[in-house]
Amino acid sequence: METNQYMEMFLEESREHLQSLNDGLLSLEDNPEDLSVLNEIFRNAHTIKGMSATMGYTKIAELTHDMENVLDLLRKEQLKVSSDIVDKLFKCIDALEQNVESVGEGGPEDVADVTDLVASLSAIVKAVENGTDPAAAAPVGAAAPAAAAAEPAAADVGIELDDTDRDVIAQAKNSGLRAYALKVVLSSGCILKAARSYMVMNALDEQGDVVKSVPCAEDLEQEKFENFFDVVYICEAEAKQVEEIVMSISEVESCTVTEIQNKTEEAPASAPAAAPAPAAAPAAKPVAPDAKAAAKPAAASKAPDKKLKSGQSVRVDIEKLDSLLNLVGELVINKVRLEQIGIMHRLTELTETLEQMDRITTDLQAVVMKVRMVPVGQVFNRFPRMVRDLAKELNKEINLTIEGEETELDRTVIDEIGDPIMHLLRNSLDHGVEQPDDREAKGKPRTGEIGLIARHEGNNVVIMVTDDGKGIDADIIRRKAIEKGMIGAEEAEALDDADAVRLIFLPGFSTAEQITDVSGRGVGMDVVRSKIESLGGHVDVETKIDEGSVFKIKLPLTLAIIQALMVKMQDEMYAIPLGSIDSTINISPDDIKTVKNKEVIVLRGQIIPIIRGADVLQVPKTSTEENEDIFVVVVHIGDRKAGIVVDNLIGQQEIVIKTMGKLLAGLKVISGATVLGDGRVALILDVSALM
Amino acid sequence: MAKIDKKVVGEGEIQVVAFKLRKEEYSFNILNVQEIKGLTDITRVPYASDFIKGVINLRGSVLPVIDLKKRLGLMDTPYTDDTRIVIVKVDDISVGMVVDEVTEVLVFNQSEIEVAKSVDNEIGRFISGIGKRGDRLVIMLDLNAIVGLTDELK
Repeated sequence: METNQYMEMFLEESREHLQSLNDGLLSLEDNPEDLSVLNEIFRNAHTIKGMSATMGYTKIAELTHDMENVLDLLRKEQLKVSSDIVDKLFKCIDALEQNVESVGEGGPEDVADVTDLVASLSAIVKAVENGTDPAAAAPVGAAAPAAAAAEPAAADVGIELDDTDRDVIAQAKNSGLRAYALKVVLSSGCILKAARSYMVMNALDEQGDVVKSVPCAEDLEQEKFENFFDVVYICEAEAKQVEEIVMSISEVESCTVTEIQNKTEEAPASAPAAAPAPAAAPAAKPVAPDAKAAAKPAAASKAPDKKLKSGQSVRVDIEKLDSLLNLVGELVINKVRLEQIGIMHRLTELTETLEQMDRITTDLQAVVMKVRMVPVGQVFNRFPRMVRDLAKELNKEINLTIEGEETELDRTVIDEIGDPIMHLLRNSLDHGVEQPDDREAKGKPRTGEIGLIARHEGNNVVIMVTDDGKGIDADIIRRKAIEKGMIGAEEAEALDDADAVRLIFLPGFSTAEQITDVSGRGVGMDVVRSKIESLGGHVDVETKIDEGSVFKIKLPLTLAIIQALMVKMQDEMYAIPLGSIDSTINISPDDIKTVKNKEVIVLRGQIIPIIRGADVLQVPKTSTEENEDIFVVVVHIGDRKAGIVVDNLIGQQEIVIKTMGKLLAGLKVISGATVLGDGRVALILDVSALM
Repeated sequence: MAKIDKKVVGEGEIQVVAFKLRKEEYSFNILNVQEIKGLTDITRVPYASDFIKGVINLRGSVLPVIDLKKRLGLMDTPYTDDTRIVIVKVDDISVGMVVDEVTEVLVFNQSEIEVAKSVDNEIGRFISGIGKRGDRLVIMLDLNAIVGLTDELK
């Protein structure tokens, strides 16, 4: 089978299911008794098995199969959930992840050696089989012979009938109709399984009545089944004709039609030998039937809450969204251009129409931006596992609290923040939280608390990594910075504690006394900072000795369209992002004072350094006359403020940020460009680089 | 716009867009040329390399523009009505090149091209060959070197 075209789909879905497996196992570790979690895990493993087998990755399928065996034992409560087993399962997931990624890159499907894992999994299964005589197996044994005796021919039709079904079938029989159990197998290459199953159902409905299907119609519609499903069907036609009806639909590989011999009400003939009919033993604990067909819907029905959450969605290539956003950007630019024409020629009618159009484009823009928004949970969800593993490795007890996973950020930002956050978390774990014994000595609980919190703050999203560890000692930071020759001793003394702690964001800084595998290799905080700043964000730290530290990342909601203040320096136009502007003020040249050879102004009692925009930007002088009035745009990055002197304020405007391409990447002072209404290009100032 | 040569380009032939810088004729391989447009507003970019004239708006995208004369170390001349921006694409990077005048599209036979080995001056490294036709000499430029992908990028 030509599988390449399905590769993307396979990869994406595998990743999703692996992630759910990870999540599931983590919550299983916390609540070992929770059967619904187990069922969910089982279902995920099962889906991965199915998908990889379809794609021809037998090694992946084998490993998941063995995992399934163990999970099945857990589910049947023949095996207790222990941290040893969970560890093993985690290892399996890691191996699966590696193999799936390798496959995605066109490599072999067995980069991670799974032989040992498979062996240890089978050992677990063997131990259970040989050891205890599981009580839960008893009803299976009891039910099976009865069913088998009744109708062995129907053994491969995995369908359970309840009383109502049997009533319906009995009535139908009485009125001279026939009842069949159908097993429809779709060909393995079938992509639109839901559509095919729908067509099968439709065709059947035309000739008779579908009593029930396994999985249920809803699951079929949502493709929640492997490549086969079972149907109980009532009609006048012969078995042969029914088979023909089904086989007339393309991509149906086979269809087994078995007539249901419902002579006695007690023993449903169609029940497969292996699957006990729950109706026969309704009081018994729900026993997972061995038949795979039945296992799937059983698991699916256990997770109705999951289904509700997901809703209806469409997978769209991010590139398409990008081009959609680009087009909307174009539209905004042209709208601004039209507005200017309207104003210039005083065309009231045009202006009115444009007001309408303005509303529409604003809405359109909001919708497109919203479409690109992704909850940060997508990034956060991989951290619990990482923290768990790391805590084990470091012999620390950690409780990770995640808040605000639903906070949404632009897709482009989401893709980039994973690494910086991971870094901060590792740092908190390694350097922040102390060993349990040390914590006890300090009178803190043994378990360290690490928090990962996301929330909205104005037009920004703030992500915080908090810990209740030992905090950062400003004096140690000062000493280290001096040792490394990053700053002079006097300079270090002059810094207040908060600023001293910020030295950790400088390149080449690492305070770990001992370099561990986890962090402390001297690359770190500066990488975090530059990454966040390249996203237009800002990172800061607050800390208190023995109480803990808070790393705060502030990110813009979106990177694509922003509000900006347009300013003029000589004849050149620049855009300053509104997000970093405090205020604009009008001063006279006398208001500028000099402190330590640096120009400053005093604004509401605060001393603010002055930056001469035109000088920094090397703007060629076109007019020599000194202005009477000086316009100052007061900007801030975090707590620091500065005043940028500009020649003229043009006004606030919505701008679409455009990159300037590889050739001009990494320019200082300029963070991007935008196209103005008149078609000219204006550059966007990088405020943080100016300060 | 330059007129397109009617001749179909055959094996061992190179089609180029020829243009003038000062008195001399230069050319780019036509496969790299995306379009030729008249002079528009160029926005100066501070802190960019000196041969980068600035950026322009090409139907909504922002493109850097290279002052080709400056890049090749030639003396500057004022812009005229003939000044054009040739938009080229190298390795997925689109760049505009300011030239004095676009002359025509030429097809050179391999035999007419002299491979530049040791053009002994400042601009030698930007030259990939010289096309000869009678008295006419057309210098073929190596776009990779000009855009700066092969050596110093800034």
